[in-house]
Amino acid sequence: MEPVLEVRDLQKYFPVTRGIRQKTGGMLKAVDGISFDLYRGETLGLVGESGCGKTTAGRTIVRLYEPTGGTVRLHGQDIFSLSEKEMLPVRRQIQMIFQDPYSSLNPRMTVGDTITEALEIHGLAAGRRNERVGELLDMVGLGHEMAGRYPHEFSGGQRQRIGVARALAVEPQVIICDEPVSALDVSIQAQVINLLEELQEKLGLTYLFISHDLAVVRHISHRVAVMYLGKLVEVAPSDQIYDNPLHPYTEALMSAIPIPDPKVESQRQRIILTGDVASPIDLPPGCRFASRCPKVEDRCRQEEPAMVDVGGGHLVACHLVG
Amino acid sequence: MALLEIRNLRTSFFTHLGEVKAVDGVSFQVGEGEAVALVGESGCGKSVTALSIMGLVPPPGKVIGGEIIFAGEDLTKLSGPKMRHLRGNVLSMISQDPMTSLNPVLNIETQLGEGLRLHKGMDAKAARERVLELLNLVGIPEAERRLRQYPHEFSGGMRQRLMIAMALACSPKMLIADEPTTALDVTIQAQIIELLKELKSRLSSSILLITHDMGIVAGLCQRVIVMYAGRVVETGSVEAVFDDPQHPYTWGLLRSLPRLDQRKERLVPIPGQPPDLLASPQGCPFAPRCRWAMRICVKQMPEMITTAKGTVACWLQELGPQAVKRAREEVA
Repeated sequence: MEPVLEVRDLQKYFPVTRGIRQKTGGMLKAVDGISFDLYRGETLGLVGESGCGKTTAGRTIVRLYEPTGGTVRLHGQDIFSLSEKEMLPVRRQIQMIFQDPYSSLNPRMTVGDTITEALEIHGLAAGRRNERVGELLDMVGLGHEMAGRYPHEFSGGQRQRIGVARALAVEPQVIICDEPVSALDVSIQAQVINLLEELQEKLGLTYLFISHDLAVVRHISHRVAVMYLGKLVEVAPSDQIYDNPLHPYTEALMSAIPIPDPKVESQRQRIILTGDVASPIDLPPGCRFASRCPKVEDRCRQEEPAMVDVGGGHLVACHLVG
Repeated sequence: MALLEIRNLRTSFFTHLGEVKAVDGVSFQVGEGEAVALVGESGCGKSVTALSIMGLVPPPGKVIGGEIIFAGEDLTKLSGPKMRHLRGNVLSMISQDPMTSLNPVLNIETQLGEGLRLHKGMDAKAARERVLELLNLVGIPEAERRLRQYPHEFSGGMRQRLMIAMALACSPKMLIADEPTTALDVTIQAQIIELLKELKSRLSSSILLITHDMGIVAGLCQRVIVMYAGRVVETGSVEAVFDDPQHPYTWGLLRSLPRLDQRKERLVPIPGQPPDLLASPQGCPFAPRCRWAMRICVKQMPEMITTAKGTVACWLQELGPQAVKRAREEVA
């Protein structure tokens, strides 16, 4: 099967400026060479802790940040070599849903205007835009009669639905969801997760689902990619990553997540990580997780492990595996 | 006798839009050495309950009724100086945000030692010794060197440890932890929870843990209090509440959670949204979102009743335990 989106060796570095003269003092390697494929109709979960570069990766893929290196191909077409004008049809195919439903909507525009703007830019639904806005609002479960309202009249969960409607307006194939439910209460979170799942089935959408919440990611994703300090450490089908995590970081991450069941919790063995997280500015040679890894060996501190395929679509970058 | 007993606590915020009843008749107890969780979603009044206990409700908020009996004394009737004597001494709190809760211009020794000098009358040397001991207790390495450092030199997880160390400085009888791990990464969260567990068994302090994370509750606490829209809707042992929840909100909350150890086809969300606290409803505040709501539910607030395993405020109880079980097992 042909992938919809191929990400190869994606890099995004930010210059670090220090002091009053803004002297450049090194590079912060937020995303430092990640590769994966995204297939039609699937959800790939991208997980990791704060500062690991998952949000930067999502934003660089759609060129909200200019990439430092690597390629992203959409249906085989390299989108990093396109001009801003040539990007317009590409942006119609890849859309984004943001984390914060409070700051990602313009407070001075009605919901209808926000969605209409997207239609206008791409020249869609000419002559029947109001009707189309109504359809979209119905599709995300808000109801077409909400078009005239302003963002402040909605709750967090409803605003996230508006964000979904805006993304869907241009009929994209791929949606990058950046922590779309993290700001929501649990009872509302489930509503939005279900909506995303239903829309995927109905419209054949492909999701890159970025989140720090592994329980949510396991639920919604077909495959999961685990990121640590700018690199992927493990990629596997979502049941595999839970039943058989191979990278010590994935293992620690899984064991750290509390499960809402006192019987299960009392039986669990936690792997408690010690040591400090390495700085993304002065990265040590070798494996980035070595400073906190409970299974660290000498070569881990010298040589960076390569990603290897252990079979069944399960990839891992660790010297101790394979 | 319970260490902390809250009876019919009411705390309101008087805004220009009207009175917001953040806490509306809350009662519960926390026993000596017990870890109790106060759970609910944002705006349910759990943090305001904690601030009311600490006497730190910010204006325009005010405790307008009820009693907070702590070690035999009603905290709502204590004077400012007397309350200050308790706070940070026998009753202390860890707040949600480790980034803004430490004073940036005081070094660690001064900051953590302040309570010791004030409440325990320690001199500088004794306070320093105790601070060192505390830093070791919460697992901050190189404590000696760290004493002279300032909060900005610590990471988020380390700052939360400092907050815990500060809260524990005077060996409080009761520790109120308001979302102590929400701002932290999961691997750091696991460290902090292990630490709280260890402290509970070592120091036998009571803990009131305020959280929205049912997973943390399951791992750390013995008893659970579930709040919704400023009221307590259910209480019980952790086992009872997770295995045999009696209130539709409690089971709805548990069912809407994705779980790491299970594959669910579809989550079952609770429809609708939490109510507006400006217009408090006549009946049960959960009724508009409850698929088992009956006519009486919207008319009259159910009384808190005692069941075999805890307490619950729900009209379904009138129909008997079998009806409650059937309702709970009916999947949407």
